[in-house]
Amino acid sequence: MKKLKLNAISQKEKEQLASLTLDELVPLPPPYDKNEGVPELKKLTPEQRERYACNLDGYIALNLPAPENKEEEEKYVGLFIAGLKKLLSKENNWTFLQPLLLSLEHCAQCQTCSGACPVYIASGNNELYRPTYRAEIFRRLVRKYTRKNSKLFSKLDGTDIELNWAAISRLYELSYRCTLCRRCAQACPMGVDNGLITRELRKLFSQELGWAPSELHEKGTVLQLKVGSPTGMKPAVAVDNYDFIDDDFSEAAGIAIDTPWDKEGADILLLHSAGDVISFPESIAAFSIICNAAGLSWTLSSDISGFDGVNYGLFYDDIQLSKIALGHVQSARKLKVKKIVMGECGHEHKALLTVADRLLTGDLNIPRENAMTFLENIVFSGKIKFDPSKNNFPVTLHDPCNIVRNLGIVEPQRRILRYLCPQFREMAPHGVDNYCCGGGGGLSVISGINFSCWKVNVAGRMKFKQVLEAFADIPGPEIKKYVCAPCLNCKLQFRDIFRYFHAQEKSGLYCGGLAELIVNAMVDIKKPFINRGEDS
Amino acid sequence: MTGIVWLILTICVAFIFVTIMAYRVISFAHRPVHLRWELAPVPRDKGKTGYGGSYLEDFEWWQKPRKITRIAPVVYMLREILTMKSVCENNRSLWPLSVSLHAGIYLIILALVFYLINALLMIAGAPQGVIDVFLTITAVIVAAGCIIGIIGAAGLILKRALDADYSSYSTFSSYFKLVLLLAVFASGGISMLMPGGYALEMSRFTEGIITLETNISVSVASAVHILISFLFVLYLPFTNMVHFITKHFTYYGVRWNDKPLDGKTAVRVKELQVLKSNWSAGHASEGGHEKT
Repeated sequence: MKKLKLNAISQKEKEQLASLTLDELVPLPPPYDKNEGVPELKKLTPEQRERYACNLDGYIALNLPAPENKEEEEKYVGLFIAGLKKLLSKENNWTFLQPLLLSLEHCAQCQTCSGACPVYIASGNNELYRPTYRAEIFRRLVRKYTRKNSKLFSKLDGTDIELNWAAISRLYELSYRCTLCRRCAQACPMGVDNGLITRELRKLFSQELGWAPSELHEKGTVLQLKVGSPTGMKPAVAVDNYDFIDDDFSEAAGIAIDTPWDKEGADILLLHSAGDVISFPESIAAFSIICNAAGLSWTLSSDISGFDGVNYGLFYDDIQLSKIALGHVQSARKLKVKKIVMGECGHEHKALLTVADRLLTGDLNIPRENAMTFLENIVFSGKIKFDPSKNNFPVTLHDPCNIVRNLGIVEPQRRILRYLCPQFREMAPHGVDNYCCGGGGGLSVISGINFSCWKVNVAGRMKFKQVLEAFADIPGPEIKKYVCAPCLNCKLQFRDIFRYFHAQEKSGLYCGGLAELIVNAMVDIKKPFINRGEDS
Repeated sequence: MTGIVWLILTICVAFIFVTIMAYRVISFAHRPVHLRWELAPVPRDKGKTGYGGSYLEDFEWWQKPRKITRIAPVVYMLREILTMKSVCENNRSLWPLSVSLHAGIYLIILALVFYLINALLMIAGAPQGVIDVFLTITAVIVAAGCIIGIIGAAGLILKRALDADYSSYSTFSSYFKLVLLLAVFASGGISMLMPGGYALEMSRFTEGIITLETNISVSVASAVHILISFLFVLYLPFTNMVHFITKHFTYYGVRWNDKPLDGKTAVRVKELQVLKSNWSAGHASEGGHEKT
C-alpha cells in the first residue's frame, strides 16, 4: 500500500484519504479474533457524502456541512490563517503558548510517538492516524504562514502543504481522531506533545472559525453555561433526580440515603458529573451512602454552575474551559466549603485540579481533592466496616488518562481494590502507562454520523484487547468480570464497546465505578449493590 | 591558513555560538507563564517515583509540606539521555542508530574535555609520561566516538531515505544535520588515520587557543575536520538539535511543572489576564468573557 504523504491533506478535495477494513485492524483475542458477529464498519450513504465534508476516512464525527461556494471556502481558509497567528501570540494564547511552541519547534520526526499511540497501533499502523501526521502538517502550515523572518529556513524545513478547503476540513476531522491521551508525549525523547498540538488545533477551529462538535459546544459547554449541564438538566431537575436516586437506591440497598443540598459551611462540596445521574446513578448513590456512613460534613450545590462537574472546554476551547472552571469554584465559594471533591469523572479532575489551577487566584483558590484519595481516606479510616468477601469476583482496573497519566494519581484506588476485591488483577500496561479507553478527548460523547463505529473499533480497540487479556484465564461468560473504571466518559466508552462486541454475553464483562465496589463491600449494606449481568 | 586566523576564527565561532544559544535560552525563559500541563511520571515526590505518583495522591495535600527528591529527576534525565529508554521501548528499530549517533556525540564532547585537560597539562609542564597516558586515552575516545558516530549518522541517513515511515517526513534540514554530523565524525576519523598523532595535534591546538598563540598550525586533515566542526557548531543553534538545552524547558518547565499556584505565579497570571484577545468566533467575544 502506498504511503500517505503529508501534502495529500490538500489534494483531491472530495476523495477520502484513507479507508479501513476490519482485517487491517489489530486482531483481538478470542472469541473476537474472527470478526464473526461483528458488524461491518458502517459506511456513509451517498446523501451523507453529498451533504457533509467526508474526505478523511469515511467517518464523520463533526457533521461539517460542505461549503456552498468558493467564497465560503476562502473565508474559512483566511480565518484558519488568522487563527494560526493568534495561536502563536501572547495576547490570544498565553495559556498554552510555551508548551505549544516547544512542541512545534523540537520534533525530530523520529516517529517514536507512533509506537505509543493506541489509535495508530489499533488501526494497523494507518498513516493517517500517526501522531506526527497531523502534527507535522500543522507545523509546516505554521512555518509557512507565520514565520515571516526566516523564509530560507522555512523552505529548508518544509513548507509544501497547500492551505485550502480540503486541508482545513480534513484537519478539522483529523483533530478528532485523537483521544488526547498523551501517551505520545510520554514516549517522546524531546518532550514534544502531539496531544497538545491536537488540542490547540481544535482550539483554533473553535475560537477562530467557530467550529466545534455540537456535542462538546452547543450541546456541551454552551448548554452547561446556560442551564447548568450538557445533559440539559437544570438545577431544580437535578435536585429532583437526586431525590429519585436516593429513594430508588434506599430501597435497593436497604439503607436510607439522603443527599444534602446547599449546606453553607459544610466541609466538602461534592461535584459529580451530571451524566452519572442519567447513565450511572449507582455511582451517585454510592457516594451518598459512603459520605453519610463516614459521618462527613458534605453537600451538593444547586447553583447553576455548581451541580455538574464536567468541563468539555478542556478538550477544545480555553474560553469555555475558564468560564466553566470559574463557575464551579464560585459556587463553592458561595457555600463557604473547606474543599471541593470531584466525583468519578476524569477530565473534571484534570480541568479543576491542575489545568485551571493558575486561573483560580485569590479567594477562588479553594482546595480541590481527587475522588480516589477521598475514598481511600474513608475506606481506611475505620469509620465503615467492610467485608471484602462480598466482592469476591474478578475485578480489573482501568486507569482514566486524566486522573492517572495526567495527574499521577495511581495508588489510592489500587490500595482500595487490593483491600476490598480479593480477585483484583491488573491490566498490562497499567498505571501511568495505561492505554486510553478510546473515549478520551471528548470522543465518548461524540457520535457524528457513523463515528461511534470508529470509536469502538479503532480508538477503543487496544483497551478492549487489554481487558480481554487481563481475564485471559477466565474468558467465558459464565464468570462475571468487573471492569472498574472510575470515570464517567470511560464508562460510557466501555458500555459502547461491550454493547458493540456483545461482550457481556460472550465474555461476562461489565463495567462500573470504584464507589460501587466500596458500597458493595460494606457490612451494613445487606443486599448486593452491584448487579452483575445487568447492562449498565 | 596562518596561525592567527585559527585563533580569531575559533574565538569568533565560540562567541557566536554562545551568543545565539544565550539568545535562544533567554527567549524560551521569557515566554509567558502558561496553564499547568504536567504529565506523569513526574519524578519528584519521595516514595512515589517508582510508579509515577504525585503529591496529589496525598489526603489534603495542601495541609502538609511536600517531600521531594532532587535526585530522581536527574536519574530520570540521565537514563533518558544515555540510554534513550523511551526510544528503546517504543521504536526499537530506530534505537540502535539513535544511540550510536548520540554516543558518538557524547564521546566527541568528552574528547574536547580531554583536549582541554591535555593542553592544561602541557602548559603546566606535566611529566611527558603523564601527558602520553592522557593522549592515549584521548585517542581511544576519539576513535570510538568517530566509529560509533559514523555508524549512527550514516545509518540514520539511510533509514530516513529508505524507510517510508521517515522519508515522507524528512526535509532538507533533516538530512543536512545528519550529513554535517557524519562529516564531523568522518573527518575526525580520517584525521586519526593520518600520521602525526591526531590527539596530540588537537591538544596542541587547544593549548594554542588558551595561550592566545598566534602561530597555531595543524595538518590539512585536521584543518578540514576543525572547519567542518565549526560549521556544525554555527548551524546547531538554529535547529532542533538544541533539544539538549530545551529539554530543560519541556521537562522542568512543562511536563514536570506541577507546582500549585503561588503568589508569584498569580501576579504573572493577573498581568496576562488583562491582555485583550481578539478571537473571531461568536462565543469568544461575548460581553466581558473574552479574557482567559
